[in-house]
Amino acid sequence: MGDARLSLAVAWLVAAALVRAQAPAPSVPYASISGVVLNDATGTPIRRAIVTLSTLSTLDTPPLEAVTFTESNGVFGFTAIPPGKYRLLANMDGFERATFGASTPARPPVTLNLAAGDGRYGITFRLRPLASISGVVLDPDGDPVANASVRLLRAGFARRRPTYRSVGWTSTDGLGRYRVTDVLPGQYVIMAVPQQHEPAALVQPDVTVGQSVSQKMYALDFYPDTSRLSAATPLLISPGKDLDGIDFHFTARTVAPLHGRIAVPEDAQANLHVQILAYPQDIPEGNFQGAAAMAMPPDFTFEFPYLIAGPYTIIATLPAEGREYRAVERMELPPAGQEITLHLEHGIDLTGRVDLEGTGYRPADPFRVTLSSGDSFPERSRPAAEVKPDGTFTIANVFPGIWDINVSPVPHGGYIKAMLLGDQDVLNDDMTITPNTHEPLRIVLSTRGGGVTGTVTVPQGVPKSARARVLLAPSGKYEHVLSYYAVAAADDAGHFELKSVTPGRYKLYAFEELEPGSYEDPGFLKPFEKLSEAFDVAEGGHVSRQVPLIQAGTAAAEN
Amino acid sequence: MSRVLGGLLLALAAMAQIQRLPPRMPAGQDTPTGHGVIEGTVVDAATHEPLKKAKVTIGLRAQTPPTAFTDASGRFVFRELPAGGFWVNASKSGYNQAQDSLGADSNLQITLGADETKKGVEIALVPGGSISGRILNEDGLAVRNCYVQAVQPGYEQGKRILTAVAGGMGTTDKGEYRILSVAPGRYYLFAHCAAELPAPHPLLPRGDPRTPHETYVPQFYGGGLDPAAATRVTVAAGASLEGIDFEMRRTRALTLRGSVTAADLEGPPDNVMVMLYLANPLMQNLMQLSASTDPRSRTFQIRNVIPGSYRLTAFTRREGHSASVERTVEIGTAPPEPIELALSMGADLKGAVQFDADDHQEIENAHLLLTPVGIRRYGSQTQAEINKDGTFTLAGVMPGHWRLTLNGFGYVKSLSLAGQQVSPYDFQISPGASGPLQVLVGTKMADISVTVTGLVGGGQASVLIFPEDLDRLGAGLERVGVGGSQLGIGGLPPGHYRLFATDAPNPWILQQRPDLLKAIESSTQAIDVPEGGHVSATVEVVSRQELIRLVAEKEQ
Repeated sequence: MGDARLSLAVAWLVAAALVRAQAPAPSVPYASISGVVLNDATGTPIRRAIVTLSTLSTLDTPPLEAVTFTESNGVFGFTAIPPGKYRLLANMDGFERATFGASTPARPPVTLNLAAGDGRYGITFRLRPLASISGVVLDPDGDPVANASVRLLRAGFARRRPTYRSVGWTSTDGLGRYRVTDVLPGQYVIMAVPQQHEPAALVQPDVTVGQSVSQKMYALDFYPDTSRLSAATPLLISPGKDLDGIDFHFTARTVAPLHGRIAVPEDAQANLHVQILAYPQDIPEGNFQGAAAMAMPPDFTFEFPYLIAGPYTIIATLPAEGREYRAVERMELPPAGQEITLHLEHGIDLTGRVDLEGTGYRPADPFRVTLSSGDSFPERSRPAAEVKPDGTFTIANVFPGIWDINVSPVPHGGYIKAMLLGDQDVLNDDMTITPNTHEPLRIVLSTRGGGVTGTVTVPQGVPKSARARVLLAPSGKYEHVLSYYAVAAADDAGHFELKSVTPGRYKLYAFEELEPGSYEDPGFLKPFEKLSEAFDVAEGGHVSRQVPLIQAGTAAAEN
Repeated sequence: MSRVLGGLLLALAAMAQIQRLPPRMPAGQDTPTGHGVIEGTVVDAATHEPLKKAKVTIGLRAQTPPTAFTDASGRFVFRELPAGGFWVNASKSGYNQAQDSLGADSNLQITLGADETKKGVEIALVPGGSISGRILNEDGLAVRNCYVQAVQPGYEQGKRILTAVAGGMGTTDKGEYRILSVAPGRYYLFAHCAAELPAPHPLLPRGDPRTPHETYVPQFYGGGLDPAAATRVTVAAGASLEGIDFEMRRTRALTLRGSVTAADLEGPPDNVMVMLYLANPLMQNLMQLSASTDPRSRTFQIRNVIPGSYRLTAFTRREGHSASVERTVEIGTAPPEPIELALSMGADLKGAVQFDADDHQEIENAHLLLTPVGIRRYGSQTQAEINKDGTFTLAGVMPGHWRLTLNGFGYVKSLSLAGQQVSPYDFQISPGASGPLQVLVGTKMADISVTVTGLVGGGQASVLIFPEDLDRLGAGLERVGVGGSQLGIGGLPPGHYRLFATDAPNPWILQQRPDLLKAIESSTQAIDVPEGGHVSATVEVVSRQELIRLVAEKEQ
């Protein structure tokens, strides 16, 4: 009903725009919006900021968008807006984008409900300036190093463990200088990586032909001047900070040659070559900067002559007749070099079945089971299989290691009830595949998920804007299972709803501000646990709760 | 999306995908040695100060060329060298190899006797200059991710074209850029900010084709898209040219949409590459936009196009057959109508060769080569074997201007297409054209003996022969001979030529530069080559310094 009126009005408006008629601002039947965009750090207006008004998008139709720029005094306006629900967004180069109502990404955005004749004035955006980091990379003589790669690593969590993720990189110019821009506030480690295979430029004027010169290569450098990630000092970047002087000093190390052989099993074809990749463990996503070598039949020996001492992950792969063979070794390469033997193993075929409990649901598409690596090995592809009409599936080529299981589509309102490898619970615990795994994987889906609804209550004296982010967290022995956590946004009245809840014991928290993914940090909820009472959700059951608002700034999430 | 050179290539190289090292052989194998020694220094060509940590390599047939890094006195020494001739090469970041105005690198050539010690070898490296500045838009705000390139006129396939010779990384968030290691010379500067910017508009569905966009107009330093009106800057060795600023202007950015069909290609056209160039041939290397077609819908869209005159080309290749099409496109300020491009495979031109004399070599050794006149980016050359009976087929010839040459023996004396006489150096194939091509092969070629006068005792001269008509450059009529004061050059088709002799080491670069050949015209000797037989000529040697002076004069 409202939609039909909206699309008709929009069609009129669009047609009017095409004829380039200056839309007269009638008080009926349209709404209008105006406001200002400011620099959050200085309070000064931002001119030529881009403000976008958009309708809410649905699954089928793209949203409608209108764009305007701010004037030199930071002011913007939209007129002749057809009544409806809208979001408002402001962005500008060098600043974090902001959605109206969400002063930081930690807060949920506001939906503007505009009726005919509505005027919303004085909408203020405060954009947080992004930071930048710059400096120079020098060699042991203090001379600049060109074409070194400088990478920014952001501290975070993955699978409830602290980790670093590469969020950007740049390279040094001919003067050894670099600049990384558009850095979001946060904690970072910054590192410099020398150009691959470039020997260290060291004075060596006297060369005798026929004599091998001992090569020296530069080591990775984490700021400030350590070659191990664990010893790096994180930088705390605040909004708008222009951090200069973050310099790196490469050290030259004698090469530590790595050589060895690959033990190729009998049943693998003996006339193909094995590809080997060696990459430093300390670089996240370091597999993109690995050194490569090949091992050829019949001996399958290999050599990495240009590595330096340090921690490496070595991966050898051999594709043979539709199966892939692989060997993985995590090692600490000593300064003198090392000789190793890698034993190729093939992946197993993981069989199983998917059963659906509950009535009234027929999936439109077949189920699909996908595995993703749980022990952070770089996987080129995710082993997956489509489930046959009889409910069985076979995933081919699953290598030994820890695997996370994903099954889709989960029935609407339903949940994943069980995952068993043989009789081992792999829903709540890691699934570890070995070369000897032969048990089937049984997955049970149920249509009867639980539901949790409720209201966020606001303490005395706090203005009644209870728009919070509500976190549902498993309590008790399944606290570590990430897939049981869920977040819902409460509306203007503080109401929230969570569906498809796996039956179990939970606690609810309502945060005024919640950074996405914060619950991946196992220590995050500890300060708040006493504020919440645990409750049970039964299969198909429905629970209603009142949750007190945890205001922003209450107890640091870190430490 | 547009293609930019310089900084982007640098960034890609630094991103180093997995690189494969060649298998390493133990040092000492297959490396000839002796007891020779080469000792020398690397210096700054401008100040003559010694250069520390310059990388010096010597061209020796070894697994890895021996590499030295000079010390604080700029010194390097290579020991245990065998007798023979080597090149010695020095490099250092921020420095360029010394180049003469002919653009030739001066790799030092050294001849070493058995067990000889050669000292005092000096290699001068020219300090690179730098060009830097800031890019702001008309609101006075910094523009980031713009690329500034140092551009010089060059030649490609005989046609004059502007090419970027140095660039840097994109402008920073402060709008600052710096181009390093610029060889001394005169440059145009070209700034290109490729961002597609939003423009104000009322409510429209996201992705709607009517959604307006803007972009920045690329420009030369000194203003505009016309190189004739641009300012050239001069970079001296080691100098820093600062404050080369740009103010970018916004303009409407349009999206060119279209679809491709290929009537005569078997199956639907996939992997079609569509490219848009500025119509001005000078600018083709500086501004190119490309897109590939969506395999299912066979449509393409090229975004971020500014109003102007363009050439639109589409090309695909499958199983040895290529199909292409080319047309002009005018883009105004209104969204352009969708364009349908019909690719065609080109015509198969059949023909036959005949000889102007009966005593000639077997045909099997020769083949015909069809090359484009003017710059083509794709599917350029076509080759045809000549059958025993003299017939041949040139497959898939696209409409355009072409040149036919003979590889093997003889030359194309005359050519006719569908009964009409045409010039083998430049003839036109129209759409829908068919043969036959009748080729008359000339079998009588002349020998020339050249006497070079003015050579300083025992010196070497290079003699260049090139056609008087410079439009015929690149058709196999050029020759180079190297020797003392008496040289012989054989196998030349009849015609009007010019002779040029110099003691400069790399004169053959001149052959690709019709502008330089014009500059040295006064120092050349005209010669008429008859059909077959023998001709003698005398020419005065032009010294390397004189040649550089003539070229420099031309560059003004």
